[in-house]
Amino acid sequence: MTEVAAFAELYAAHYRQVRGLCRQLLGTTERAEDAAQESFVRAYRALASRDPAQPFIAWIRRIARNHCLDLLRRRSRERTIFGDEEVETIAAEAPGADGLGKALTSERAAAVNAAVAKLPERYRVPLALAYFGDQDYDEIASALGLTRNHVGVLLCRAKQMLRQELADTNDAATLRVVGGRDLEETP
Amino acid sequence: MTCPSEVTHSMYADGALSPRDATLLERHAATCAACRARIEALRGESELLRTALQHAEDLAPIPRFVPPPSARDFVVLIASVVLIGGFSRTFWSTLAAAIPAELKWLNPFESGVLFERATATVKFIVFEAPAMWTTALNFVGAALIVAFVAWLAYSAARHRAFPGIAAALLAVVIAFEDDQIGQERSHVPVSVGRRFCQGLGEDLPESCRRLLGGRRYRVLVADLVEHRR
Repeated sequence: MTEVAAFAELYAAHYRQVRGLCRQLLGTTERAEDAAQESFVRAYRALASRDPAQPFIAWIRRIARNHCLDLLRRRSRERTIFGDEEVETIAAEAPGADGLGKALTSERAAAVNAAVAKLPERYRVPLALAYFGDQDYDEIASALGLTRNHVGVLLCRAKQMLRQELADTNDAATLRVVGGRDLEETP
Repeated sequence: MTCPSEVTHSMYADGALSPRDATLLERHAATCAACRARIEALRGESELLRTALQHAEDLAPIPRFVPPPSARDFVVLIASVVLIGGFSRTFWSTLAAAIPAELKWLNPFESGVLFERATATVKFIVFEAPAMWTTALNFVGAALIVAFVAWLAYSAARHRAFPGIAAALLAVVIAFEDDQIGQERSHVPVSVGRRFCQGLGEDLPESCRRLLGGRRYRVLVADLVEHRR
């Protein structure tokens, strides 16, 4: 099998996942398509330098993540994407923002994804890295140039906004309890 | 200990608290049912988020993988350009040979002639345009004077004015010789003027002496007319 054919197989196996990560990070399907293509082209060029011990999917996801973050940074050169940690912390702990209240359901994945897509970039990006990219807080902090606490604050705010967004849709199926329990009923 | 913030709960639920902070929270949660419930709920929420994001419906087709161009591709590309260029050179020269002489001006690849014409045009505009404009303005001025005189004559006749006015105006028009209207102060192009002056003998008009003396002086049309006489 030629090198191109072998890579094309890896591409077919992982393309959707990479495109999904790009979509979560960039927010639009069109840009995700281009970013995923570019990520695979970069991976193909760097194939010789790849560590064979590392799983391909982890490698290509890292390439896609870095490429998407580069795109976001380039687009946001004139503004700070992730804001000030203290301001975010105050917002995350503001009265009324606390408490889970109504939340998510796995049956409503489409609604959740739509709500995630509506999140501002500063919340969507760490959320996508944490829950789609399966990266821990330290990896996210390192990739975004933030502190671990700042990442925690952004994720907390992101989840609060998601709850709000899903509650605002008045979708009864979406307004399920979390983990089989409604926090408003907890003592 | 008061209940920690939601941020702390959230980080704990995701396993992101430092060991020290995690121990403190666990001690508190052991005695606080609300915090235990909240942590449990946040864990569930993270899991649901993970599930929802990972299972986002993606039915869009996977585009074909097109590998980026390699060094070999570049070599092939350059070779192709050279080959096509060589072929097209032959093609265009064959085509040029096939075009009848009368239609040569249609051939855009006769660049030598085109270049010469373009250069000559630019040179003409740069060096001769002032003389050309002077001549044109003189002509327009003369035409305006003639038109004005004609209008005066027509007005006089229409209003049955004194016939003497018309006669006088007519006399003025006739009195203008054609080389005195427009040509009196007109210049000829520098190149024409230089040729004209070089063709003269010793008896050079003032403008020719200046022009041949190296100054950018224009020869008057009147000089040419005078010389012909």
